Amino acid sequence: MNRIVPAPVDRETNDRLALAGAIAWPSFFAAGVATMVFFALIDPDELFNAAWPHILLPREFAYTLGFFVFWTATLGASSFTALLLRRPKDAQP
Amino acid sequence: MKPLPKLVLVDDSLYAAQAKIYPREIEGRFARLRTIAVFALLGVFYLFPWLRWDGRQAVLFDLPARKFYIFGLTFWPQDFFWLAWLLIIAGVSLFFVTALAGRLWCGYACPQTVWTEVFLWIERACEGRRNQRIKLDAAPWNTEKLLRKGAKQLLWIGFAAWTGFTFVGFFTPITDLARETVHFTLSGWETFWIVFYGFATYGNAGFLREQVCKYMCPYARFQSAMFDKDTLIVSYDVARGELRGARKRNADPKALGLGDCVDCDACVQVCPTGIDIRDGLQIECIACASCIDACDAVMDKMGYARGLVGYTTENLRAGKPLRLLRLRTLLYGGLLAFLLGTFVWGVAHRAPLIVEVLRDRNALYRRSADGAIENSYTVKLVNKTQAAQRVRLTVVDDPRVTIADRSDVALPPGEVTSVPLTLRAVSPDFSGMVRIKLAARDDASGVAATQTAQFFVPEKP
Ligand code: SF4
Ligand code: SF4
Repeated sequence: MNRIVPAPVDRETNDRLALAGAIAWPSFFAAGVATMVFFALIDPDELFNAAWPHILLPREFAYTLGFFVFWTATLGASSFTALLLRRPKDAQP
Repeated sequence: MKPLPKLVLVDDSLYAAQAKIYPREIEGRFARLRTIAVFALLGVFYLFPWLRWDGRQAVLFDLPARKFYIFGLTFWPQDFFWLAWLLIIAGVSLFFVTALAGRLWCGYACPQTVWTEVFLWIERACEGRRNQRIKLDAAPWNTEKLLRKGAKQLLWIGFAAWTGFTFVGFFTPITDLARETVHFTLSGWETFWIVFYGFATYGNAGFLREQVCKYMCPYARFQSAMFDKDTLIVSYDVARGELRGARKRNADPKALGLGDCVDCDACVQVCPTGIDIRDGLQIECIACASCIDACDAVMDKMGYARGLVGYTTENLRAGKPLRLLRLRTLLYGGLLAFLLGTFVWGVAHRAPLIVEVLRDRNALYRRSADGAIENSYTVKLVNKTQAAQRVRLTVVDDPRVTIADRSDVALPPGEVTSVPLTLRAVSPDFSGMVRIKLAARDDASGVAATQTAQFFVPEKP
């Protein structure tokens, strides 16, 4: 039987991808949940009206902004964890 | 014969060196089941936003208006509790199903699987079967390769864009969205989310595929905690299969000292995660059952009995009887029944009217011209019924405090109404603060709700 063997993908790229995924996906998920809970309890219209009454911010925009603020925070935490988990040997240039 | 590259755990690395996986196409019982699942689930996803109910979109999570419609039900931010409850129910259902039937979710229902399947169909239509795809990737760029790859990308991107569009259509009325798309008047955030979700679909289903399951998915990591010896898994019958080895179709395996596995590698080539099921149950296995279909086809061809690779449980393989009722399934099942029951009861008994009383921030109290003390508020009334209501506001059981400026408020169906309200106490015989209870009631329909509020008067020395 003649077997066709796929070409291997180089390992470095693969590792990087896997790591990026492991950071991006859980932080994305956590940010999504946080955004849901936050905006279920708080109407952005009321929040922004109270703080900056002269700025008109559509709710959709506030939701999007809120999501990315949360994601920035969770992404930061995930990346930091990944950094701390790296073995000292990997960390060397 | 060169061996297929296997997953090797390279030392000091969390991740495996890995070849690109070209899953071979497969026909069979379970592949058909998955096709049905794909059509059913994606059908729901792509069609639901277009359904109408009572003159509005049947399923709409109207974020701008802060109201969720699911067919006849309307959810308000105040009902968030029940939506969270629903998510918990979904989680426990997953536990329950996993304990009973293993990674059924992964094989047939996970969006990752379902969308990857469609992307694979497109890939197959443009680039051909497995061997053709591998050859095409290895070949130098020419017109044919360009055309095939270009067509695939075009279809992928189109499908991903449509997916993004549908996704946003769950959150903003999809007919408006379609009109805006045609007229190029989509708002910035709508465009952004269509592109974002489309891109995520493209990346996950076209590009990352099994890597999502292997490296990114949390469920893949904790599902084994719900497994026991009676959980349905995909497994290879070692006793029957070994010694594996190639043979002629009409050869007698016993005479050759061989088991039933003809070592054709069909099960390995179809595996979307690139593992060999004959090495035993592995964390990468998403229980897609492709290897069962592949092996059954080979067994049929050889004239052997099916099921060398099959759905089974660890206990069944060991010759023990199947136990469906066990502590774990009873526990998950009981919990699930309780959560579901509470949900149905709770949603059916939601308050039809909600009153919120917000104090005006400017002053604690005000002295009116006639010497009475007044406090002002904003009252928010949420009419969750689909009928107009006319409620009367009263202060309950406290004759010292009365409503100064209004009594009746008209509430349109399904709307939030805010009205200013002033409460007064003519000659307060108390000092500081008193708690009062404000009631709103429509005498005709009986719809009513109450809320407490604080009423401030000057401190007595
Ligand atoms: S491993 Fe995770 S991503 Fe993959 S099919 Fe299962 S649940 Fe979906
Ligand atoms: S081992 Fe079989 S069931 Fe598991 S992922 Fe591979 S093909 Fe699917």
